[in-house]
Order: sequence, then C-alpha cells, then structure tokens
Amino acid sequence: MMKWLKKKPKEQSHTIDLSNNTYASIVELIDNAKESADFIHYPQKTIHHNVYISYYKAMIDGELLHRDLLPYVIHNKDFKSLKDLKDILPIESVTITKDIKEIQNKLLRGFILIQFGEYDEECAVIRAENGATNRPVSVSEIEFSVIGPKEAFIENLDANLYLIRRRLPVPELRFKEIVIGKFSKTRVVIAYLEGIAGKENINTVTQRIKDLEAEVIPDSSYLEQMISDNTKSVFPQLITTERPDRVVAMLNYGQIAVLSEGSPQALLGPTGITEYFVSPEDYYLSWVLGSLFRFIRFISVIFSTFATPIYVAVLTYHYQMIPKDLLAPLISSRVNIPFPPILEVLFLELTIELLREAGARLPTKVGQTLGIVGGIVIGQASVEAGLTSNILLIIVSLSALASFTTPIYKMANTIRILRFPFIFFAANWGGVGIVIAMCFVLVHLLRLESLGRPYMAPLYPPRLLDMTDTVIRLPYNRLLKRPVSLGTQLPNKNKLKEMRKKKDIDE
Amino acid sequence: MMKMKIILLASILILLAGCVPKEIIDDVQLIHAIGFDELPDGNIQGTITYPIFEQDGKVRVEYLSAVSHTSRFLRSKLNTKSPKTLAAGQLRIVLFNHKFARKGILDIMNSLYRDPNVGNRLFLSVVEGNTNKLLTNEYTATPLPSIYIMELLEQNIKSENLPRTNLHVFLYSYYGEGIDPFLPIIKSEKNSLQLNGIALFRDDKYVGRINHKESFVFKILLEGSRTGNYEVQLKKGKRKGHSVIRNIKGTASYKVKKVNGVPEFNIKLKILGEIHEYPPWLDLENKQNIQLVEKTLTKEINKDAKKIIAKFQRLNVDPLGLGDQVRRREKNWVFKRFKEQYPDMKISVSTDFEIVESGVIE
Repeated sequence: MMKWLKKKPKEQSHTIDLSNNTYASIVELIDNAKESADFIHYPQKTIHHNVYISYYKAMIDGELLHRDLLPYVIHNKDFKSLKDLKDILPIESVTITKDIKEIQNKLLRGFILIQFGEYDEECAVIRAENGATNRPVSVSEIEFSVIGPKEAFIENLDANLYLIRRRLPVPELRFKEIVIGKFSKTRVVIAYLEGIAGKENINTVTQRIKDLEAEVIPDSSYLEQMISDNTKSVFPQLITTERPDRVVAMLNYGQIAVLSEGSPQALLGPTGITEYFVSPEDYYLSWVLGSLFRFIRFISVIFSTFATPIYVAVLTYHYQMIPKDLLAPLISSRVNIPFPPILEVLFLELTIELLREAGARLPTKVGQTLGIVGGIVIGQASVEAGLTSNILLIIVSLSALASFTTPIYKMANTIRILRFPFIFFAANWGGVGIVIAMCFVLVHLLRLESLGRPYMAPLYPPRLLDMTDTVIRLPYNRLLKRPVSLGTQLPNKNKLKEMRKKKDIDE
Repeated sequence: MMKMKIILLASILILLAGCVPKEIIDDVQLIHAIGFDELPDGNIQGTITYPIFEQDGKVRVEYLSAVSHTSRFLRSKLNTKSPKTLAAGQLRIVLFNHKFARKGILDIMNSLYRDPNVGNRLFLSVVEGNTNKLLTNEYTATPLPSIYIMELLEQNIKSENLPRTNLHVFLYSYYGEGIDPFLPIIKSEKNSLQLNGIALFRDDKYVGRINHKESFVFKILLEGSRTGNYEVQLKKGKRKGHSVIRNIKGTASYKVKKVNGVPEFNIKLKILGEIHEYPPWLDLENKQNIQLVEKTLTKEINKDAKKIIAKFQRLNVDPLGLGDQVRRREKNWVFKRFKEQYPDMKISVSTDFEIVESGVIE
C-alpha cells in the first residue's frame, strides 16, 4: 500500500576520487600538469648546469620569481646542488623532497619546483604564493554599525585569522585547521579559546567538519548548512557574521568560530535564538539604550510575523474584534476592493518580496531607484486601482520594514518567509489557525538544537543567569557571567562582587 | 507510517477549513443598534441601524425594521430586506421601549447573552417613547445615532451621575441573588438625546425610575463615585441662591445588624466635594459659610438617599444589592426570607459631607 511513500534504498555513489589521484612518478605528474595551459616547465641555464623550473603561472608571485629567485639561481657560483638553494635564496621556505604527493600539493598551492634533470625525483619546492589578488579589508556592509569597528572579513583566510588574532593576542586562542573538499581542498579553521570553550562543543564541530564529504566548498554558508543539526529547518542554527569584533566577543563567551578559505563570513556556534537579534551596537551603546533597541527588534520580529496574518484573520473571520473607531477606516478602505483579504494580502506581500528580490539582484544604484519606484509607485497605484486597501499597504510595508531590523541576514530571511504559512493558516482557520501555526513553529524551535545545545536557551530550558544578556543587556559590571547554556568551562568569573565596586576613592 | 500520519493530519486540517463560516468584513452588514417596540396588537417591532461606510471615509446610517412575534425571528425577517447578511458581532446598543420593558425583556436578554458574537460590554437602555422614532431621527451630534447613544452613555459613566452599566452588569445583577438590575433611561428630543434618569427592574420587568438628580446619590450608594455634580439651594437669612458642588470622592459603607432575625442597615455616606458655583453674596472666606454649605448638602443628600431607598422598598426592588450585603455576612442566608423582609426593613442613612476645595476650579 502506498509504495511511493516508502523510502527508496540509497544508491551507492560512484564518483571517482579525482583529486586524490596521486601519480606514481614525477614524470607522470609533470606530463599531466603540462596539459594545463598555465603550467610552466622550462630549462634554465645557470653557471654550473641547467635546472628545470616548473610552476603554475597563475598561482605564483611573478615578481618574487624574478627578483628573489632567478637572479640567485642563475648568477650564484655556489649553486652546485639542490641543497645549496637553502643557503643562497633569500626565501625561508625551501624544501628538498622526493614525496610526489607533497610536490603535487605544493605546486597547486603556488610553490615553484626546481629540479636538475627534467624528471629528477629529487626536487626543491620554494614558496612563492601570489597574494596580490586579495581584496583589502573593507567596511562591513551586511552588518553595518554606526559606532564600533568597521572592519569586515575578506576572502583570504589568513587575513581573517589575523583580524581575530590581533584582537586576542593570547596563546589560548587556538586555530584548528582541517582541509576538506575533494576538489577544492578548502582550508577550514576552527577557532576557539582553550579553557573557555566547551570541549564537547569543540569535538562536535571538529567531528562534523571532518566527516563532511564535499567536493567543493565555495563559501562558509555551505559548511553552515552541512554541519547544522537540523538541515530541514528554515531557521539558521549557526550565526553567519562578517564582523571580527563579533567573533572575538563570542569566542570570549565560549562559542566556537569556523572560518573557511575564500569566504568573508565566519560561523559562530552553538547559538540560541535570541542571539540572532543581537547587534554589536547593543554593546557599544549604553545598556539602557542597547536593551531598548534590542527590545524594539524583538517586537518588530513579532510584528513582522503576525501583522498580516492577524489582518487576514480578523477581516475574514473575527469582525467582532474590531474596535468601533477602527471600523470606519478599515471598511471604507476596503469598499471597492474585489478580492477577499487573503488575495489582497498575498498580492501585496508578493509585490514586496519581488521588490526585495529584484533589489538584491541588481547593482546597488539601480536597486535603490527600483526600491523607491516600486515602493511608492506600485503601492500608490495599487491602492488607487482598488486592488489593495490603504491600511493593508501600511501594514505590509511596516512589517517589511520591521523584518529588516534583524541584524543577522539569514535570520532576516527566515522571518521574511515565516509569515507566509501564517497567512495561509489565518486565511483558512482564522485566529485558531494562527495559534496552530504558532504551535508548529514553537514545537519546532523547542526541538531544534545548535551543535547539540538547545536552540531556545536561555528561554527554554530557562537559565536565569543567562538572561542578563538576552532580551535586555545589563551593564557590563553585571554581565560578567558566561552563558551557562553554552557548556563553557568557566561559567563564572571570580570576584564578581569585587569587580562591581569602583575603586577610585581611598578610604 | 510517519508520512501517513502527516498526510492524515494535513487532510483533516484542509477538510476542516470548510467548517468555519467566512464573514468577510465588507460582505456583512454590521448591526450597530437594535430597538424593540411593542405594537398595539402585541407583536414586536424591531428596528436596526447599520452604518454604511463610503470610500471617502464618510459614514451614513441606514435603518430597517420588521414586525414579528419573537426577537430572534426578527433577524430573519430583517434579512429579507437587507442587501448583505446582517451580523450582530458589532452590536453596541440595545434599546427597549418603556412599555415593552414593563412586560419583561428576558427573552431578548437571553438570546443576546447566549450569542457568542455579541459582546458583554454592549449597552442596554430604556427609551421613553418609540425606539423606532429615536433611531430613525437625525441628530446633529454624530452621523450615527448608535454611536451617539454609546458615547453619551460612556461619557456619563465616566464623568457624571450614571453608574457603570452594560450587558454584563445587567446579567450579573439579574441572575445574582439579592440584587436587582437597573438600566439608564434615554429620551429623544428634537435633534438630540437626553439621559433621563435610571430605570429600576424587578426581575426583568421595568417597574420604576429615579431621576437624574437622585442618581447622584444612587451612584455613590452603589459603587462609590468620583464623579457627578449636585445642585443645592442655599438659604441664609433672607437671601437665597443656588450652589453647585462637584463630587471628588464619595464612598458608602454598609453596616448590618440583626434584630429579631431581621437585618437592619446603617449606611454611612462620606462625600468629599468641591464648590463649583455659589451665590455672590456668600463669602467663602468665612468658615461659617462653608459649614452652611456642608450642612445644607448633608441634609439634602441624606434626604435623597432616604427617598430612593424608601422607593426601592416600596417597589420591592433592590438595585443597591442590600440582599447581597447581608449574604456576604451571613452563613445560612435565604433569599426568599430576605425578600419577604425587605419592604419593611429598617434602613438608616447618615451622610457626612465635607468641602475640601473652594478655590480655583478645574
């Protein structure tokens, strides 16, 4: 019965392990490499004898080759054997090796190969990576803040590690490197503070990343989805951030950061749902303001999710609820509209989604114009044409605006789509439908985990000590505790009371 | 198996969607007010008003009326005249003609409070005259008579002599033992409405009334009050004049004593007031004059209180909930016995009026 419902047996994968195809001899390696147009392999005359120089043109720094390598190799009288290279070159990383696998890997990472004979097994590999194509560290754009550091991560992993290490110059800051991706050989770094981050969490992340069987990892977002606890969830379970200051603050909290080569975003985990609504600016402003803005953000999320569903539910089923003063504007704005509320709402919501999507795909300047044209012209025109009501236009645009207040982009996207099931439920079952949908979402959230830690913490399971930095942010002298729910190794900093005192008066 | 469950759940939810009736707000006719009149042949005439909202934000009112034997069937009869389905979910006002109210309003109240669409905070009122005329009349105050009546009552509860009243309060005192309901009385004038005292009910029947001036002390006796104004005539020597006093805080305390099995009440009124208006010859700098005002007021208010309580006893109605006061203090209270004792019960009222302000007003 209903065979199509049953799970089909998993098919075995038959992909060939191309990248790990190590060649038997240096001859094979070089001959194969020659198939690529950017591989250079040529003989070079020196004082004593000819050498063969080979490298991938795109991967090496040409200037380094011309300035620091060739002159020494060609003109130096002491260059008699490969071992001499170590002495005559002004480059620290010169290795003499016969290991074909190592030679292959290093060639592909921008090393220069020097041999005496064309197919000599013994080679010298000299480091000459090309660093010129890196983007400079620039201003953060996705998580912009008015006050505070403006630096954002770039696509170069080492530069990103520098941005973190510079802010935490302690040996306890550990970078664990794992290379994953059959083809991309992406370097992934797990960063944490030894002694603060929970060991269990570090093991979870390490094990999950090691177990990945990906071919190419173009961005850390791939990693985020692959190592998430629940891959079916629409909620992001790791924070994606481009701000080194956020990473550093969270490392200090006991979280673990994951960075990957070629991605300007770091992942942070384990996280709770409240952290997605935290902006670094909350910490840079006074605690009263910070808490207030954070509170506004929570309210706006609730508003953004429920405003249009409630509109649909009330106008379709619960006209009794409308206060007498609101009755006139609501009805008179809907008098000429031919659609039921659900179609009216879907029409406007889809318009806004279209604008948002189009704005995101277009270059910045065109995008801005589009936003204004779309927002004002389409909105106004659809009201005048009698397709939507004035009040709905306000509600929809306000809820769109409210969804932009979430600082983490991935969470903002979730909030953006979350309202559609709510609208659907509201249109079919009214207020009861909204409650049903809310139950589904709540149950899902309660079951969700981030790296094995409850996602709703510290709200559920309730951890009062952690509440000092969730909905409200208390002043720093009250905020010295690390979240218990992260399973950090040092839940308390000592001498709490001592630290709260200001010691400027001599008594 | 899991998938089966999910599909079952989803199909149940989708099928159940058909069970909820849709009432899209612009597809229903929202009844704002209903008025019930009694026709000479014994039938009920029901008049409803509903607002028509126009696109430019203007509101106008429409009326329909029908005649039937029962109130519920009225709605069906009215539907035969209406372009859109009539919906009672926004009902704000229910009016009863005073003759109609004398015969009892229970059947209507019953259908009102059992209807989940109808809110408990809707206003009920007795009308002196024809409710049809009252509802179809044009008023200059607001375009909708229903809103006019509602705001009139709300405003008077908030700042004048009208005690708190709505469907909930009515039902509480109707079904509660030892307490009888009351409703405001409205009278239609040429282009306006007027609140004209309070209607007293025995069970569900309108039996008597007290006027606007008496409802000042009624409100204080019933629930304490921080509102209301009272006019009093002052006499000093040969000079006469009127003074208006605003109530700042009025409270009533009930003391019950049992003498030979019959409860005796001793009600103490304490009122703090402010002199609003006084005759020019009265010098308020003089303490004696203030005492004069206080004395006159104490006397007048005491007289009013005694008068209305005597009226309640004569009519055998208990809107103040004196029975309830006894019930609170007694273990084996029997409503029937109290009812028999009530008309001859000894109820004494003492008033203490104090002027606390006489200077700058408001």
